Amino acid sequence: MSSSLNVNDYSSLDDVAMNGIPCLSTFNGVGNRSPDDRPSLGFKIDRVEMRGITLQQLEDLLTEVEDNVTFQHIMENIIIPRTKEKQCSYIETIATREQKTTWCVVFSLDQSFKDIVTVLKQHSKDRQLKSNDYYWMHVRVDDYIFFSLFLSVIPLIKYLF
Amino acid sequence: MADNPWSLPGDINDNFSAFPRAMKLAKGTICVIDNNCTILKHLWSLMDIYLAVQRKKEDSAYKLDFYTTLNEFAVGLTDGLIYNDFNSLVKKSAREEKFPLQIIKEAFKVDVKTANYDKDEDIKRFVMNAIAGKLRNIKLIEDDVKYDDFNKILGGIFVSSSLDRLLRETPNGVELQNYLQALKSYAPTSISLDLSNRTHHLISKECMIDVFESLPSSIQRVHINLTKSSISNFVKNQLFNFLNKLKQLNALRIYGVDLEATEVKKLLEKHHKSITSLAFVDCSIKDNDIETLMAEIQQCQSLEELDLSENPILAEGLLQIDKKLENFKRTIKLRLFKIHAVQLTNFEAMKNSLKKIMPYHFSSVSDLRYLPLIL
Repeated sequence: MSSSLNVNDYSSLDDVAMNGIPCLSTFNGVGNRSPDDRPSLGFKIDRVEMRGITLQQLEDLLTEVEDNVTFQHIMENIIIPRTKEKQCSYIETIATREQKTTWCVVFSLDQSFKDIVTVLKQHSKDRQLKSNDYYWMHVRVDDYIFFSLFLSVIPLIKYLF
Repeated sequence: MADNPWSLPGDINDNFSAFPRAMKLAKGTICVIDNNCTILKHLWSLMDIYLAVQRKKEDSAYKLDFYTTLNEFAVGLTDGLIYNDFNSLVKKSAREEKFPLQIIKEAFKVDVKTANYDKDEDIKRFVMNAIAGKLRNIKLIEDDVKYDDFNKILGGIFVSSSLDRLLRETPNGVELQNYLQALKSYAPTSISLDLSNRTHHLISKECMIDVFESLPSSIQRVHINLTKSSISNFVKNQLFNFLNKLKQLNALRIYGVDLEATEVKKLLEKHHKSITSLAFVDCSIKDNDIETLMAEIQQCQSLEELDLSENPILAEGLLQIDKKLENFKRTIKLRLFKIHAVQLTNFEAMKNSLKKIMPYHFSSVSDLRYLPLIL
C-alpha cells in the first residue's frame, strides 16, 4: 500500500515523537517538575503519549457514575472539576508514574462510558493485556471546541450564581 | 483524559501531533463503534483511523481493531488472530460472526468527503488535505483519488472480516464488485470463507468465480469451507488459481473440496518454506494420495500443524503417514479425527504397528470413532 500522507508537510511520526508539544507538556505553563516535586495526589507527566490509562483506572471511574452516562458527562462532572486545581490532565491526577501508551483508543464524547469500558475490558482480554498496559484516550479537536465553549461559560455561571 | 483540558492546543497541528506520538509507542489502535457508528461519521475520528492505517503501512505489526457492544458484552473485528483463536481462522470467524452486519454495512458506506465536520472549515481543510497528502495551508482539496482510496481501505477492513456473511446475503453485481474492490485496496493478510451451510445454495458459481479471481495476492492465511456446498466442485479450479497466485502462504485450511494429490503437490512446492499450518479436512484424500501428499508435506520445513481429519484414509494410509512422520526432524501437531481407519475391525492390532502416531485417550471402543493424535 502506498503512503498518501506527506509527512514532511506536517510532522513525521518520528519527528513528532521526538519534539514535545509545549502547551501540553507542562502544568499550565508552570514548567517541568521533578518527580520529587510532584503533587501529593497524582504524578506530573510531561509527555502526552505517556498519559495512558489502565483498565482498572477506567473501571474505578465507572463505579463513580450511573450506568447510562456518556463520556461527555465524565468530562463535565469528573475530569473538569478534578483537574481544575492543578490545571493538568486527568491522568496526572490519578497516576503515580508515567503510563506509557500500549493501545490508542478512538471514541467519541457522545458514546456511553460504560460501553467504552465494556469494549476495552473485552479487548484487554482478547489481546492478553496486563495490568501495566495503558490505553491512550484523548479528546479530539472538534470536541475541544465544545469544551472551549463549556470552559468559557464557567466564569459567567459563577458570576450569575 | 491524556490531554490537559485547561491548556488547550492553540493550533490544530498540536492536537494532530498528539495522536501520532501516542501511536508511535502503541501496539495498535482500537476503535469503539456504537450502534449509530458515530465515530465513522466524524471527520476527526476518520483522521485518527486514517493515521492508524498509515501507521500500519509503516509497521505491519501495528494492529487496528474495531469493537462494539452487544447488550452487556463486547465483540470485535480484530486485526489478525487473538490468543483465544488458538491460531485458527475458523475460531476467529466464529467469534466475529457476532459482530453486527448492520455496522459492517454502515462502515462500508463511509465517505470521508461527506463526513461530519461540525461546520468547522479549518478542521475540514486540515483533515482532508492531510488525507490527500497536500499542504494543510492551501485551499481545501474538495476531491482527490486518495479520499476514495481511504474509503475503500476502510471498507476493505470490514469486508475482509465478513466476506462470507456478505456473500450469504446474495449481493447484486454492483455490491459484490464494490466489496471485492475494497478488499483489493485493503490487501488483507488473511481470508476466511465459510460457505458450508446448505442454506447458502443461493451463492452462484459465477459469484464465487469473481470472488476467487479478485482476492488479493497479499493473503497469507486462508480458510475455505465448502462442506456440503453445491458449488464446491465447480469452483475448485478458481480456488487453486487463487492459491497459486499467493506470494506467501503461511496457513491453509480447506474443508469439503475434493482434492487430488497432484494439485496439492503443485501448490505446496511453491510454499515449502513458509507453510506452518495445513488442513485438508473432508477432502476425499484416499490411501493412494497419501504417499505423494506426505512426500510434499515433508518438504515443508516450517510445518507445525497438519490436519487430515474426515478423509477416507484406511489402515494402509495411516501406516504410510506414520512412516513418513519418522522422517520429520521436529514435532508437529497432527489431527486425524474421524478417519476411516478407526472403523476397521483390526484397528487394535494395526495400531501396534504405528511408531510415531500414538492414539491416546480412548477408554472404550466407542471412542475409536475419534482419534485425536498429537505428536
